[in-house]
Amino acid sequence: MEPLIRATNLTKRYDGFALEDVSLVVEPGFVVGLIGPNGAGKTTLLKSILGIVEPDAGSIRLFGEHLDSANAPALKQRIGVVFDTCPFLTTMRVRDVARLGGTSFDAWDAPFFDDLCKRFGLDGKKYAKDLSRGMGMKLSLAFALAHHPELLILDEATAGLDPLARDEMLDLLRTFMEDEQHGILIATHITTDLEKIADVIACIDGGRILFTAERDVICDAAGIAHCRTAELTAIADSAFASQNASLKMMRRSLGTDVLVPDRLAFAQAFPDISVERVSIEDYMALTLKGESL
Amino acid sequence: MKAMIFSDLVTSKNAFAQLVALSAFAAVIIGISTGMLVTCVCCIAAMVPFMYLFSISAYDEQNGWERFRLTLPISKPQVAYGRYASMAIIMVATLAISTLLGLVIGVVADVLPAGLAPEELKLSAWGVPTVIGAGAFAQVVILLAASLSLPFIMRFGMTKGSRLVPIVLLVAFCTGAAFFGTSAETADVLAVFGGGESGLAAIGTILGVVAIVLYLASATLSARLYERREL
Repeated sequence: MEPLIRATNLTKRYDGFALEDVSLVVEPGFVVGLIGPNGAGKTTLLKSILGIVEPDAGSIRLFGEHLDSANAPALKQRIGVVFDTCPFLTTMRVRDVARLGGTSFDAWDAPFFDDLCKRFGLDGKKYAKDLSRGMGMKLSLAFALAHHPELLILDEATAGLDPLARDEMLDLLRTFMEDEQHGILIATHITTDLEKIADVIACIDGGRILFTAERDVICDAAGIAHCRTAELTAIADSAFASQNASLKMMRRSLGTDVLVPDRLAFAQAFPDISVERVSIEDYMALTLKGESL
Repeated sequence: MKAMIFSDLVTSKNAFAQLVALSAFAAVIIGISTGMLVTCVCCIAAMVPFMYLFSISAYDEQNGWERFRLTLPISKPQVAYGRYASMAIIMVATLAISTLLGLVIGVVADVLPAGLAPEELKLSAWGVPTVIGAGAFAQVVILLAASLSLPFIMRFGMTKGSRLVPIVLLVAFCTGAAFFGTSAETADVLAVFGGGESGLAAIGTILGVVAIVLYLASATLSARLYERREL
């Protein structure tokens, strides 16, 4: 089966910033989380994938088809998009948004949209300007889902939402993923959301993909070892270090954290050193800012 | 393109109603102060679409709407052509409204007791075709202005584009004045086309055709410029 997204060697240059040679794949049945610091290139990558900006080099295939200006409208019939703010104009009512969906998407499902609005407590007569941030994002998600897309692209869609609203949104995304043909590409700073729903994590920094790893490799297999200085020397001199050449460490006030790719193997090799699971956020921080051991 | 036209019209429906109301009020004031029915009609026919052009372009920059719109199944050229189409729809609607309002004001002026309304505010002084023609002529001017303005707005956005538009219009006006001169008498121009109402109709038709051709050319140019714009 063709990937939903296959971006290959994408390059996009601006004054002072460049997305360089970025490749990314989103397979059906997978949620891919895109993480990275501000200005790393996440949004530029998403805009390239959506055809909003033209890459200087590289190619994008959506649903197996090469994306170009001629087929972009047809391909976008199969994609739902949610950005970090509710994009609908202040002069639009919720029911106008529904009409817009009806005129835009061939597969627009008006009863489903109404159903989502009822579930979210969105009144058809309400203007977009009168919606809270949370309600605005729910409207965006309802709009993105109501044409039964195969692919969702979300850019900081849960930013600024309270934990309950975020969980509600994540539940909807889980429901969307019950169909194994579906996939999600989600760019976010809220890495705890990715710990709940992502299958693959891609980290981008300075316009380049720094790592792509399955969530389980990060959250289950990898770990953080909390070491004292003497222990650090022992690790550096050990066979474990020579087998894992790119161990990263970060000095803290009370010791040093070392990112280990296999915490169980590490625990066996160094039973006296405390090692625990690593969060995506710590994994990213150590990978981005950590020194090599 | 249907989605683009729809979004423009939905976006502008409230603003359009307000613009018509404001322009109607302004038209009545202008009509009373100048005592000319055709001035009222021209006022509405020109003001509403011109203000629509700038307000709809300003909405594009709200809430990241312009960027989000490109995630819909719509291409960049369709966005540009849709904007021209929605502008054309607003112009046709405004022409109908301005004509209707002109007829109402003219008829009211006609039925008022003698001496209360200026002679040239009466419909009987102008006739229906002249009222329609006055609105259409005002719209030809706006069509030309839109043809010059929209490519800049589509390429640079409302904020930057609106700084360029007055300069462009000024340059266009000065170029026209330099080329054709400013001293031509209306009667002389009319005489070239046979004079009288038929001459006026001929000038209006030629200007209308020129404006429509320019508008279509401008739409094609805007589509190309917008395709290169990165949001």
